[in-house]
Amino acid sequence: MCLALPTQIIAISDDQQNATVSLDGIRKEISLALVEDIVVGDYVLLHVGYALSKVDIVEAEKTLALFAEMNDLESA
Amino acid sequence: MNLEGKIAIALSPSAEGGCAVSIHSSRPVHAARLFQGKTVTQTLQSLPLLFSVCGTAQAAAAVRGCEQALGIEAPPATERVRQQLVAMETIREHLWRTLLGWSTLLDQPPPEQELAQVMALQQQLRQALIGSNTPFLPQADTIHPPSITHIQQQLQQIIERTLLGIPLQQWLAFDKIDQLFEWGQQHRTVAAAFIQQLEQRGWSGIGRSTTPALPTLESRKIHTLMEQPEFVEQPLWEQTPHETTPLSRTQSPLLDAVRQRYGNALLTRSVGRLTELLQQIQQLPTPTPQPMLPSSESGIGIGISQAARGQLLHRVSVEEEQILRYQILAPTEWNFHPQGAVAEALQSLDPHSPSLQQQAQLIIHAIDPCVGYDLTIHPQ
Repeated sequence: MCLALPTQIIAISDDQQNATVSLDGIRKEISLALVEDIVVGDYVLLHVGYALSKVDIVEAEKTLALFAEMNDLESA
Repeated sequence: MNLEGKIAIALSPSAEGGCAVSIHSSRPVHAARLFQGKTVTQTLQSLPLLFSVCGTAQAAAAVRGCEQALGIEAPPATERVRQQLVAMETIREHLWRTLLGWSTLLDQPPPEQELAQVMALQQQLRQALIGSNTPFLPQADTIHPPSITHIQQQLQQIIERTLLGIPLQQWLAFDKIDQLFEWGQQHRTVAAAFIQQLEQRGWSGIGRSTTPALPTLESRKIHTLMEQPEFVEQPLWEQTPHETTPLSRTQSPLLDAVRQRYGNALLTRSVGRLTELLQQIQQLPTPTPQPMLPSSESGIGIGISQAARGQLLHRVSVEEEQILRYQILAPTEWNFHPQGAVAEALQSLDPHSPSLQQQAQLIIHAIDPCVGYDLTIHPQ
C-alpha cells in the first residue's frame, strides 16, 4: 500500500551521493540524488532505492507512532 | 516488522505448456481499521502521513468518502484542485516507471537530474495551488487556482527531451502502429528506444490476458461486497477478476490500433502508460472531474480516485463526526489477484525461454504493484 515509513539515515558516503539506512534490521544502500542537505540522523521517505524527501523529525515520530498502532492491530 | 507486506510470485512449467503461476500477497489490506474511533478530521490529517507513493490519491479518495458519509458536497473549484494534485502524482509515478524502469532494460543510467526536476515541479505545483492549506478536508475553503501553464510547459519540455524526441502533440496525434515503430527507429530517447527494444526482441506481444477492465461500480453492489472481508483481500466483480490499470482507463486512436494487433500485451501496456502520461500533462490545467458513486446508505460514503496504478476506493462509515468503520480497496488487490491480469499474463510465457525472468519482470512492472515483490522461478 506504498506506506510512507520514515527511515533514518545511519551513514552517508564520502561523495554524499549514497547513504545507508536500516530496514527491518537489514542495512541497505540508497541514493541521495533527489534530495539535498541530508545528514546522519535525518528521516527520509524511500521509493525504489531513492530517498524521495526529508521528513521533519516531529512528523516522523508522529508517523512512526501511527505505524506502531497499525502493527499492533495487524498482530492482534 | 515488514508493515508494507510483499507480493510473492512463483512461476514453474505447467503440464499444459506455458507457466503455472502462484501469487501470494502479505499486504496489510485491513490496516485502515486504524482509523476506527478517530474523528473525521484526525483521520484525514493522519492518513496522508501513512502513504508516500500514492498519498495524494489516498487523500482524495478519503475526503470524498468522508464528504459523502457526512452529506457534504465539495465546491467544484476545490475538486478541480484535488484532481490536479492527483494528476501530478500520476505524472510523477509514470515518469519514475518510464525514466527509471525503461532505462534499466536499455542498460542506460537513470536520468536522475530530470527525476529531481519532476520532484521539484510537483512541489511547485502544490505550492502554487494550495500553499500551506489542504483541499483534503471536508468543507475546505473554495480554492481559486492560479494558472499553472508554466509548470505544465516545463513538464512537457522534460518529456520531449528525455522520452519522446518530438513534440508531445505530434506523438499524441499518431494513429497507426507504423508511425509508432518509425518513431522508435528514428529516435534514441528512452521511450523510443524502449519500444524499439520490445519489438526487436520479439516481446511486443508477450503477456496477453483476457481479464476484463473493471467497469463503473454499481453503488449498492459495492457496499454489499465490501461487507465481506475476503472481498478486500481478493476482489471479484461478477465473480470474475478484473483489472484497473492505466491501460484499462486510457483511450486513443494509436492505442486502439496497438490493441487490435497485440491485445493487452506488453507493448500495448507500455503505449498505454506513455499515452496516459502525455494526456495527463496536456490536461493538467483542466483535468477531467472524477465521477462520484451515488450515495446509497446514510452515514456511509464511498470515495474514489484514480491513482497511478489504478482505481482506489475508500469506504467510510461515520456517526457524529466519528469513524465507525474504514476500508480501503487498492488497485494492487485487483491486478495481482491470484487469478487476475498479472497471473494470466505470466501464464502465457514460455517457461523454457532463457529470458523468462526478464520477460516476467517487464510484465509485472508494466502492471506495477505498489509494494515490493519477490519473483521465484522453478526449476532454477
